[in-house]
Amino acid sequence: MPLGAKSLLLLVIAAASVAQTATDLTARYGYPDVERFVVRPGITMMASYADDRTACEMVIEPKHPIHRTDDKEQSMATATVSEIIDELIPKSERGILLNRIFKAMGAPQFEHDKYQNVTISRYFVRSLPANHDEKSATIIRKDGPCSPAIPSHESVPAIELNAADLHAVR
Amino acid sequence: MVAYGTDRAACQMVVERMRSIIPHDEPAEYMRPEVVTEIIDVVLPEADRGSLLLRTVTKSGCNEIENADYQNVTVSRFRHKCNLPNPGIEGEATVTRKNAACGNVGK
Repeated sequence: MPLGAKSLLLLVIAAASVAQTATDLTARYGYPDVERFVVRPGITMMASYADDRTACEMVIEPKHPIHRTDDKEQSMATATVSEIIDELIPKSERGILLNRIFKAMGAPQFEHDKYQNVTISRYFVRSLPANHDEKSATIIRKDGPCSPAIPSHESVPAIELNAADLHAVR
Repeated sequence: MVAYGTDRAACQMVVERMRSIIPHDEPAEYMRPEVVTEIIDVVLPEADRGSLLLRTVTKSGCNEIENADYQNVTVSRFRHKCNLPNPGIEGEATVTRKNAACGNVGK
């Protein structure tokens, strides 16, 4: 084996034996389909991507190890979460508000805001300190590359037609 | 899923079935153990693990957790053997590097 090729082989073996970095893993497996960012001190946002790298699903929650632990004490300030949601999906991109659902079962409360282009869900535990009782928030985009192949009837706003409209079609 | 240390090298790697990041109530899906072994061997070759210090298997009903504690890493694997002979029995596997950059030396 020529000396150059031998050195290259040794270099490859040495590189393979060190701990894996994000670059190593991306080179081996491609770009991650999910990533987590620290968006505020103690708060993370995990995003999952469509094929074109558009963030379609985003989860905002208190920072915890990747091995999920159900830490009942961890929560986020509601105002901070609202701020993060506005950064990730500005109101102008959401489309029309189609439906707002509110569910409360004792302390746990869920709020779902269904817009034309996105659904925003927020989960609170009201027994935690006031204004710091948000456990998680999720954003699911439904527009562009995030749109499901077959849209559900819920994501298509109904348009009321009256008799005059139907006559006009003829 | 991978968590990185202060040296930007992987500290904890969780091997699991693909799933949505949005929590749903859906039935657990399992992987073939030979596939999980192959992935672990790729991301953490045996030569990098150091010597095996302790291997334990904790069984509870048809579930078991295997922990292999090496000098440089810990490999933890969860298996659900309630639906044998179904070949998919492995729930998830976790590889944790022991390093100062991971903040877990001596733990």
